[in-house]
Amino acid sequence: MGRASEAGSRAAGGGTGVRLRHAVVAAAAVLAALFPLAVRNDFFLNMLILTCLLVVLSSGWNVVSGYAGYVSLGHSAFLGVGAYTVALLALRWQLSPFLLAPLGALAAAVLAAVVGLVMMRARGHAFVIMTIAFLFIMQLVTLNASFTNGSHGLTLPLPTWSRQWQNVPFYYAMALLAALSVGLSAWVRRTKFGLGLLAIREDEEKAAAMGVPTGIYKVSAFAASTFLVGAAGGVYAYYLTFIDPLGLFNIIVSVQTVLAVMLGGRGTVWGPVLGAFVVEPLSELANTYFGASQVHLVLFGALMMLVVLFLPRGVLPTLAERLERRRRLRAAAAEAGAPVRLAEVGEGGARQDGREGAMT
Amino acid sequence: MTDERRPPEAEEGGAILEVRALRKRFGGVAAVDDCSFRVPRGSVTGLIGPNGSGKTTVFNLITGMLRPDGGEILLEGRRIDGLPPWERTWRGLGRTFQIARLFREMTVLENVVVPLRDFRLRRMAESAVAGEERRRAGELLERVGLARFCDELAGRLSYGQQKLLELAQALVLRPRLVLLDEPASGVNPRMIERMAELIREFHREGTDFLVVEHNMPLVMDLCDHVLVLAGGRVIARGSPLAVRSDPAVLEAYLGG
Repeated sequence: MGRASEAGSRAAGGGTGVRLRHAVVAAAAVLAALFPLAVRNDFFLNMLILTCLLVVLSSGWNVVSGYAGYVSLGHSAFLGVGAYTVALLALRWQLSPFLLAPLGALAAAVLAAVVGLVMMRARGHAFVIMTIAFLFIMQLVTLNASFTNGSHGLTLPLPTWSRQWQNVPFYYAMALLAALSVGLSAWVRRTKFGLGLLAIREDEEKAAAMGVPTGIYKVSAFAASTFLVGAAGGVYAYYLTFIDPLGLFNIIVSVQTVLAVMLGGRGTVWGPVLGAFVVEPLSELANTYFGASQVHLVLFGALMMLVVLFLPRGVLPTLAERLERRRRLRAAAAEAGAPVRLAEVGEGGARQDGREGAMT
Repeated sequence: MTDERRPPEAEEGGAILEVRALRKRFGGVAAVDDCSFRVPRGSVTGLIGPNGSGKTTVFNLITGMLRPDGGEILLEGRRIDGLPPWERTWRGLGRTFQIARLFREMTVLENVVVPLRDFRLRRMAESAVAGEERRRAGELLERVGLARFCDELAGRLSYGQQKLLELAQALVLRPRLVLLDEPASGVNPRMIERMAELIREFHREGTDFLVVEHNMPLVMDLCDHVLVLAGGRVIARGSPLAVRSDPAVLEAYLGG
């Protein structure tokens, strides 16, 4: 919930909390901007690029699955769509994939809107299964279509900048997309649109009955959640210089995305960011220490289990709740140990309603 | 019950809501079967009937949560059956549910400000808690007595408070007609009193009500017009007193 950050700021004392948060974000931005100039280390730079990619994926996923509650396990399909769109156009037009990334975004969002119109008529498990099916259909199509060069994949043009810059431009591009993703997610959360998405997650029928145009909201959410993922796909393709259907339309990427958000906190603005900064480095370290084995998959599985068992709401909401509870206790203590249960502070007439309601 | 308030010949005056030959089957069961009635403008109308007589189904058909198999629904003389639920709400319909349904993980204030008044892309981008809705929501929460819980999660309210919050939710867009599904169920006598007062207040300000309720004293007290539903159709209509002594109504309630 976006409430997590709000509760956090309340706990820190309203205005100062917001200012503190802004200061932290600004400091992080400066650090992120200076990092590649200060630290010339390919291992870390690669890790950061992939982390930023996961931030784009998880922040995007969070809009449709965290806010609106429509869990997609096919989100990496839109990474593939962006990658292939940009790669094909770059080869045809001989333009830099960086310039074409917006078209990758557009392709992903338009495709999401179209399939969303159909898929989002289903809810819950049915929707989840359809998103998985969608991912594998996209993989099959790219494997078999002639214009995608099938399983041979596509080789993109090589970067044109001086070799001394190495991967630094990729880092800045991906970091920019990550920042935009967080900005989009935060903006959605603050708008009428975002509030409507939360309402859809809580009770879709009720939301519709109250005057939330659920159809338009859901499809818009799906498109918004894939737009920057498509752009990131373009940048990622350029970074890889070689893309193939199995690598790009990959369910493991979807799983990593879901894991990152579950870990950090579903429905919060910063949870997906935190999750990405844990999951991606962890996966990178596993690759380094266990070689190219599948050990990282076991690691993901174990981590997912731990999160579901011990942090079902994710790190940030759990922390926010702790702070909130402490604040309440302190407030109660200040009122000389007055009871804090809501129903008891309520109207006289409301005093026993909780119990009565429980019985009916 | 206040006789002065009842419009003379309610049936003759304009209808805020008109239902014509409405039908809905669930498998082999005709839940609503050739059901026709009018809700007089300016009234608090009761919709009563034994369990399973189709009251909630009628509500679901009127609000668009269910699609009718046949028939017409007119709000202020314009067809609304065919419209999605949110557009019916924008035309001036509101409703509450038999068991209060809230957005439990959202704050009390957010619960009220969530709907749009109409659809324009620009409105989607507006700040969630601001402007006209913010003012209206604040005023409503003040009146139902929940203003001090604005920032609490709705799921933390007591059940009676949840029912009050749902009333505020139904009223936020200033509807012409609100459908209340058992406003008094599951709440204590003082809260029923309070709920009745609120309904009367909002009615005086120009909102009509169609109320499903099993609490007969409340229906008699609140409503100036009553429709009796049995077997999915209206079997009696009129003033509360007249309906209470109608043999067909007694038969429906006691004969089954």
